[in-house]
Amino acid sequence: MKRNSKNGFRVLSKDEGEKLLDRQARRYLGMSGKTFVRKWKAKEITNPDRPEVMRVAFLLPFGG
Amino acid sequence: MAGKTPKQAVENFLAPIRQAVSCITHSFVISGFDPDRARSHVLTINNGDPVKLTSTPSLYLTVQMQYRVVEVKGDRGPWKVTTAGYNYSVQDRLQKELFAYHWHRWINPSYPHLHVCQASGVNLLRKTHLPTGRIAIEDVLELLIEQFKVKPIRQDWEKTLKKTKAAYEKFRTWA
Repeated sequence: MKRNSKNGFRVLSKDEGEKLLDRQARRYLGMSGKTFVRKWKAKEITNPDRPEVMRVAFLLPFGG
Repeated sequence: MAGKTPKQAVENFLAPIRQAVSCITHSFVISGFDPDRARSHVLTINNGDPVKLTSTPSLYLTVQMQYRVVEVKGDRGPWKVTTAGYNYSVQDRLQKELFAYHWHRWINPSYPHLHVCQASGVNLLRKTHLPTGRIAIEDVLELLIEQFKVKPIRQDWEKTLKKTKAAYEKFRTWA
C-alpha cells in the first residue's frame, strides 16, 4: 500500500501515528500521548465518554 | 470488505470511505494499518482534525473509526475488514460538539448510540446514550447535506453515497 495513494488515502508509519496521537492528546487534554496511554491503561481517565477524551481514545491504536 | 490479502482487504475498505468522504471534503483518509499487527487500526480524515464543512452556519465534522482485519471463510474472505467502532462528531463554529454517533465496544455502553450535546441547546442529554442502529458514514454525510445544508463538493454525491453504502452493506454482518 503506497504511503500517498492516488485513491486519496494514506497509511501512516508507526512514528507518524504516535505523533498524531501525541498532537491530539495535547490539543484536547493538555497531556502527551504517552501520558494519555498510561493513564488510560491505569483507568485514571475520568468520564471516558467525554467528546475530548473520545477523540483521543479513538487514536489509541497509534500508541503502540 | 473482502480481499485476497490483509492489505487488499484494507484497500478495499478504505477506498469507498474515501469516495464517500470526497462528497464533502478534499481531505485525505489516513489509516494506521500495519499488516504485521493483528489488532485494531485507526481510520480518520484531515489528519485527525475536524473538517470545516461548507455550510451556514459553520459546521465541523470529525470522523474516526477503528477496524480489524480478520480471516473468514466463504464469499466474505479470505480476508475481511470488520469495523470495531466509530465516532462521527458534528461540531459548531467553535468546534463545540452538537451531536455525535458513537459505537465503541471498549467503553460502556457498547451499543451504538447518539449523544445530543449542550452546544445544540439541549442541556440534559449529553450524558444520555440514545440507542441507535449501526450508523454508516454515508448516513452522517447524507444527514449533513440534506438537513444541515452542507454544500457537497461533488455533483454526483447522491450516486456516490448510494454506491459506497451498498458496498458497505454487502459486507457488514450486523445492522
